[in-house]
Amino acid sequence: MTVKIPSLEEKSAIARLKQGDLDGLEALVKRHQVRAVSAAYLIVRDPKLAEDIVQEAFLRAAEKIDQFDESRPFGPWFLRSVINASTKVVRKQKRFIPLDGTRDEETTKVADWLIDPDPHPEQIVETQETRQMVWEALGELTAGQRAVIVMRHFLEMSEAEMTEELDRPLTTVRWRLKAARNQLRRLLHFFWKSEYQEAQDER
Amino acid sequence: MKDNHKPTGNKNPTIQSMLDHLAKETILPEKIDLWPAIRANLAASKPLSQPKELSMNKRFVFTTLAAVLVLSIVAVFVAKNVTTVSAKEILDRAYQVQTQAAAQGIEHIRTEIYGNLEAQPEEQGLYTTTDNYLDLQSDKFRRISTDNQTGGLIDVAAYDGSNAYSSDGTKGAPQSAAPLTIYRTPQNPPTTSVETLGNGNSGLDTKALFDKMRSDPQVQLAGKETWKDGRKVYVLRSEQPIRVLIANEAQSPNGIVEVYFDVDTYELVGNRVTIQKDGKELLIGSQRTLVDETLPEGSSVAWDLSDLQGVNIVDDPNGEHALPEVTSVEALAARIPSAYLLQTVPDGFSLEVSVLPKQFANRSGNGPFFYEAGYVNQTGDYFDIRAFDDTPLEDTSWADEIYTTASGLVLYFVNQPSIDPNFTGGLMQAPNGHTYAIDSTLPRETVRELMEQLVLVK
Repeated sequence: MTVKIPSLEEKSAIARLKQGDLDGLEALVKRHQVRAVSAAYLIVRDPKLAEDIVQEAFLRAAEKIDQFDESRPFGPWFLRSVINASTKVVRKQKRFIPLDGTRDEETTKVADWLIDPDPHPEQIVETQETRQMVWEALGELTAGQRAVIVMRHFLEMSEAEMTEELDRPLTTVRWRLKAARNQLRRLLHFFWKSEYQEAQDER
Repeated sequence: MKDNHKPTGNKNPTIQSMLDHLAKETILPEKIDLWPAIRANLAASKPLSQPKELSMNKRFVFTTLAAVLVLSIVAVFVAKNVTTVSAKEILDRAYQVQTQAAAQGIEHIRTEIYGNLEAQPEEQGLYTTTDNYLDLQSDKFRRISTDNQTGGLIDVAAYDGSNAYSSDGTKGAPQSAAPLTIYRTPQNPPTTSVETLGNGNSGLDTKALFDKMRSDPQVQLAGKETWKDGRKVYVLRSEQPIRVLIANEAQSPNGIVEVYFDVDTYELVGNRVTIQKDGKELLIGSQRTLVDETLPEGSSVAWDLSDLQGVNIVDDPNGEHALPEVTSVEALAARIPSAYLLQTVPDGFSLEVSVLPKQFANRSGNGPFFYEAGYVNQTGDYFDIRAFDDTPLEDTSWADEIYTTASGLVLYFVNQPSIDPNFTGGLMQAPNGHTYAIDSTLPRETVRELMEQLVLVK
């Protein structure tokens, strides 16, 4: 999500859609569908469901397009609705607990790291295994936490934009990140040295 | 979206890259084309006025329900010769129900669970009941698991808005008469909420089983059952690989999975998983939802666990109960024989060994394996080795040098000049199949020499 200023093409598409021309919507769909489905997938973890959510979001966007200020970029507005819808779906879905009643704490550690990673990221080597670990860790996060990760790292939203989307005061978001960092210091020392040493220093 | 609103938190290009990869592994841009479906949807709904649309929808729902019902009844009579269509319709309905999210209120779900992942003889597994509350607005939650046989608490986790509660590290002794210790840590975000628990690695949670069923063309509608509490359920059955631990070895035999759906609401209300062992059907696990309700917003729930009897709530302001503990080499050897240490501590260096107080289940089921050994000298140079994984590396394409010691240890060096030109690190593959992370401020040449000194702890 690197485009903040609406392109002429996008402006034109929105204007056409406002006039009832479905070609305008088609242009918006083609432009944003992959990013939107990818973001939804990272939250709901089901590609078909992600597509359904994005389809619904486009339909809702079409219904509400009259309320949309076309001087603003469509992408962030639309993607936020996708994130919201995805979060709601996960909240409803993830209600059953595993039979063994246990959780993989390694995954939990990575989940904590995802919430607020250290500024020395390169020390975690990106391999198929660590990616798998990240995938599992994402699954361990709450819907809201997953949304934060996707917004921040995948959609590259700023903290202010995330706050707007999460409908939470900025202080709350910052508090969550700070608290997550504290937990990280306790749990993640095996993944890299500096955090562990900080934790040790604090003891 | 990078311009005016500069993020104040940490961004992480590694995570970004991983998320990109993860998304691209499944979401293939060339296969995403939502427009035909959206256009069809718009075309179908546009000409209809709202009342007509509602009427059509109702008719459709009625027809679908009737069809499902008829097919279900037929299924009972024709036993296994059911069509997959009826099963698919039930799955589709259930899927729709799941996507209708409640936005507010307090979700309360009580589930009875039988777990026997070690495939022990019948009834030797553990029956537990888990009571979950989740405030959908504030993320407050509480989860209480009790042993059905003894009534004792097994596991507790909660978040009251300002404190996180966890019995982590104290659970696992349901027969013990000692009170369960619960650690209370201020301002910890909830990392274990009821809504996150459907993604455990057991592969046996109802949602995961349901997802597999949805993609299984052979899923069958086995019929309808009436439970003791009067609930009527559809029973869908499919064959799926089931991950179990037999004689400490992870195996995935094919098993029979049954998932139950409420006949009236199509909600998932349970599952039952069996495998064949020694010629007999063996119950591996089951779940039944006993209560599934949404309480009004603001309903009274003891998020702070103040209603629990027989527990010992301990303040742990810094979360120290989960900090790694410094231990001796002897203790390490007794606890984690797969640990590698240098044969002798290098001159000028001191050694500190630490382990996590609570070692968690690992993938191979071979017991605890996480430890860290840090060798540090007066000038701050260090050589660290720590357990990374208990399975071999699958992908080593990132390595820019591979070094094999005389004893067969293989170190895959990683080139990371961007963070610290003096940093030397990589992942080490040992003959025991475990992987270890090594990082050091020492040059590669010295690290190679130290690698030759690594031996299993004794």
